[in-house]
Amino acid sequence: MKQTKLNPEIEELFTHPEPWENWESKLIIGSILLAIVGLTILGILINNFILK
Amino acid sequence: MTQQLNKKWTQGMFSTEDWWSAWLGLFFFGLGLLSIWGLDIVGWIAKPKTWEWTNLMQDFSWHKLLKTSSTHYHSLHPLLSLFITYLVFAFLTGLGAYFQKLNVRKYLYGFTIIFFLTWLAWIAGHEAHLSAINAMVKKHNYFKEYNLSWGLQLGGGASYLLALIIGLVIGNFMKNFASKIKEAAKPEWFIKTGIVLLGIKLGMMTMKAAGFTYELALAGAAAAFVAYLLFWPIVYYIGRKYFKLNRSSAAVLSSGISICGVSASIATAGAIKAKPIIPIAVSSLILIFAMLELVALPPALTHLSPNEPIVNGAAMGMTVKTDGADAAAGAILDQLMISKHLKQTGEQWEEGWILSAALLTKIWIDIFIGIWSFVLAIIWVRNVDRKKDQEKIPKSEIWFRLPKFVMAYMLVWLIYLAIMYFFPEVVPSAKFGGHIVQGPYRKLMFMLTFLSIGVITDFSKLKGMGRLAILYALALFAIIAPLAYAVAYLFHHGMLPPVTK
Repeated sequence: MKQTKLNPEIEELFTHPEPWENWESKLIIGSILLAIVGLTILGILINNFILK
Repeated sequence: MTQQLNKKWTQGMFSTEDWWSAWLGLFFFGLGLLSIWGLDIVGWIAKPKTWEWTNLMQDFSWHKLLKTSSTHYHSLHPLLSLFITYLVFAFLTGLGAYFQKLNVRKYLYGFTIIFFLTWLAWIAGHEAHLSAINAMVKKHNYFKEYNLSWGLQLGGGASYLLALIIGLVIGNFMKNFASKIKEAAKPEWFIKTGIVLLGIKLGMMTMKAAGFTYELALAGAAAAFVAYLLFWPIVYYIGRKYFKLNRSSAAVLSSGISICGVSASIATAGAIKAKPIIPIAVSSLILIFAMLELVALPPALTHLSPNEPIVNGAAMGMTVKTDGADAAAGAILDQLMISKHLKQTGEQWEEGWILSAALLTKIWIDIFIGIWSFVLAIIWVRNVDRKKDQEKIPKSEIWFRLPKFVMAYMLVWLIYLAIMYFFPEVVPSAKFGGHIVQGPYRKLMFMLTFLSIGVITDFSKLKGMGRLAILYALALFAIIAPLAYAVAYLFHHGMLPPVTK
């Protein structure tokens, strides 16, 4: 079966993945924590003042 | 970079699609507003009527298919009305094409074909077997009036689906023809203009039910904020850890895939200075998957969750990428859910609320992407490019990345609010023009979007992008769609559109 050859420009997307760094962890965790805080506070506010 | 820092705040005002959406939308809005002073200069636009084919064949008349939008112009022959509609839209969008430096000749050629194919779909979609619902709608039950023995009962959704199918056939099976009319296939421009006009509808809806509109806007803002902050890091992590993407690719893909679509991936790529191929590849994927979502999600949500219309709309806004596909999917969902509810209960929800729920979440995200791009630009300068580039990112970048059509949409809404609060005596006359502009004008922009989106969607582009497509599909269907629904449910559950009396 003929294998589809990856477009060399698209291949660029997968080449040279840099090692994971600490700031990336902080970005991910910070973002998810902010989302959880937002979900809790906004969720309570919206549920109490709009949806009830 | 120096050039970027020296950008004037007015840059792009007459040369970008985004600004031209705002100008066109505001121009039509302004024309409609003249009804406050008793002037009807918008009512000449043609609009399709519900018809039935055996009835038409017995005694053919264009008057059975088309009519002008206001009684002031009823003496116009429907075909003349359609021709005037074509001339006005070709001239105004052609002007925009000229300033956006498109090839005007090619644009007008393509626009003419797209315009008339769009009308063909729009008229065909109003055939009673496709659109008529067996219930009273605006004092008519066309299903009974035409004595139909069967019908798909798709409401306004039939025209949208037909336009999309025609566009997809051209884009995928008539590629030479598609390339000839592609200059005028501008779904993002058309839909953004349509969204500005939707600001009128939101304004009119606020006049009817102010409290519910504010609630919808607040709940949409909260849901968009939470959803974006959840989606982006999850997709970035999976892309980096399991699909071994480099940082730039993972960041661009996360912005594009998680919510905001093409504009977000381009904005993020600009902010982090990613290689140009990255947003191009991601954008192709976004457009193709948006098409799949557009076809699959509205019927799926209508079937799976028929009693949560606003939740469905908000979830759609957070799941479907690109403003065009989201508004299009929202419009289909709006029609399908109203039709289903009407068939089941005999109660008709007001048109536009489900679509507005889809758009409001998307619009908040559009606003948010300007801020997020700015945050990412700072993070990238500090952590990735710190050795090669220490320059500061100017705060003016937020202005440049802020979608201008969203500002126009908000402006239109605010003007209606101001009329409602400060000049309540002119509300009925303001509604007259507004009703026409948010009706046939807006729907024409939506219809042009559906056909254009099909024309530029080429499914063969997925070839060679297997790995990226798998990540996209996985993130979209396994993570984003369920999370979007959960967040939409938490912030919108139990909300129902007002009922038409």
